[in-house]
Amino acid sequence: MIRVQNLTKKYGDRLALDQVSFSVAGGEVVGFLGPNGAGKTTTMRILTGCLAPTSGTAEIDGKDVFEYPVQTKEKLGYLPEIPPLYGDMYVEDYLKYVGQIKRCPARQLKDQVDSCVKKTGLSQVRSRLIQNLSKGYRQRVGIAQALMNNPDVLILDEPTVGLDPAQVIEIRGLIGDLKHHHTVILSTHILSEVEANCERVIIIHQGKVAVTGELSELRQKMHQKSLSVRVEQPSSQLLSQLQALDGVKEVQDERGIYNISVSAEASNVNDLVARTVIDSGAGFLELKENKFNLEDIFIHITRSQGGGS
Amino acid sequence: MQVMFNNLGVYVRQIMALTKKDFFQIISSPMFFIILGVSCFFWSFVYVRSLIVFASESMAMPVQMAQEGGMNIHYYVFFPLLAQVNLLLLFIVPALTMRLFSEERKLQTFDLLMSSPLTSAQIVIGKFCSAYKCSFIIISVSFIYILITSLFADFNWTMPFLSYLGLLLLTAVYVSLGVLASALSSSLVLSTILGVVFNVFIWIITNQIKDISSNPIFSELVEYLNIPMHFEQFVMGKFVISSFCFFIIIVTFLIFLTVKVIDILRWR
Repeated sequence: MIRVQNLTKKYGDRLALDQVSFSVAGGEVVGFLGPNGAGKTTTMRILTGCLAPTSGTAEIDGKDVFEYPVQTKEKLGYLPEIPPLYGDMYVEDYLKYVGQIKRCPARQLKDQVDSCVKKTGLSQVRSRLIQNLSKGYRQRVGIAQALMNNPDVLILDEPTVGLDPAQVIEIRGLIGDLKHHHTVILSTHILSEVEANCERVIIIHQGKVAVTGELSELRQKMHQKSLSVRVEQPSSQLLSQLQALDGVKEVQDERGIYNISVSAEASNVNDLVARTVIDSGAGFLELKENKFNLEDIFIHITRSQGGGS
Repeated sequence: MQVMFNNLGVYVRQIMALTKKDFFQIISSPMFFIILGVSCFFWSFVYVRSLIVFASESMAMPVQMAQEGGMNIHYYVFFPLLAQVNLLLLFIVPALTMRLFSEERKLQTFDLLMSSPLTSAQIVIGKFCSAYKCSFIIISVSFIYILITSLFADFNWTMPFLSYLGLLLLTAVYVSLGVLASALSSSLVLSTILGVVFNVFIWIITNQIKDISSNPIFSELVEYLNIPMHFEQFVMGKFVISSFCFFIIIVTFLIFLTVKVIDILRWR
């Protein structure tokens, strides 16, 4: 559905995107991750036809965004980082206007407005001025405008930035509902957002694609596991006992909490560690298995490739 | 053929949506009413003053001259009014057009237009039409003075009508220059200043540069590009087809230029 090939963008001498290539299949929900200034927004803006690349191509449904701008944009819904809203318009009038410029057929315009208002939970505020809405509702209006042409592809650029936790959960839920009907690219630097909604991630760093793959695949690739053991009476004897166990690579003592790095091949380390702690009489309080999350993957990648921006 | 007409219908409907949105945004702003109020104040002053001068000079006119048709109200009353309307339009139009692109870029709503299935030409034409409709309202208000005059005086309608046709064509040039100025900057103040500078430039400079060179071809070209001269043809009550075409060509060229500016914005 989306194919980006060797996309390069220069702002004067500064290289914002360097030979970025990726593809997104129809119906997929892809998280577009990267630290601030990595080139996420530039890629989104090129994909939506707002910005021309220095070189390379961006295709939607097999058609180049710049050779067939009207045809490709008919299939596209875009929510920029700052929602493109006119404060002096009413929500309903604004959505009608967006529908008209996005070629929504005149007969279906009212139904389409009703449908988008319902999908995004704007029923209560549809007759209010946009400037009087809360940030959460404005974000919803932004998502509603992206849906007005019933697009195949939905591009959301940092949709939860600046929202309070309750609003973040609401918007995240809304994106969760949308993912069954559209191909979605969700650009963000908030990793939990991607973990909640996306099947696949593309991590971009310093203008280059650093990693791309299924979320589960990425976790497996990192194949690291660690345990945390909390005891009542830490001792150097227990520390050396833990270090001597089969499958344990490294143990760090942090004031009564032992952080244990475990090799991938080891199978019964949890049991061994628990027994060792109980037998030592140090006072076993807690044993926790630390799963490697997206944040760890992200930090690992960005650090290993020369630090964040 | 049917598909072509359908596409054209969609194309026009998109432009109309753009025009309607910008038109209502301009006319619902307090600035529009302030502009209209201040303009009416100045026009009323000029109109009443011209009318008094016309009445007093008519009374003092020799009987023989009065029998030959008397003084022409068009030159004594309508002409000063038209000059005043034109003078104010030089400054009013940039104030109306300033927000068309500058504000969209400043508020980052321009991405909505850029990511919608619209061509740059549709965007520019839509914005031009909205500002032109607003200017038309202002010019229409000034026409009320002519209508009031017709209540107590008989005169030939050809000259006022042609004068206003010329004014509408001239305003189209001002509006297209204002739209171009707005596309050039994301600052409202800068785009207003640019718009005024462009308007004053075409009004003054085209009148002055004809003396720069003695080359007859250059002089002829400059003569043809002399906007005040083309406007005067209409004010004098003449409908000159070349002047009419001149205004249409200039407006089309300026719209084309603005479309190119919008295209360049994508490449920056």
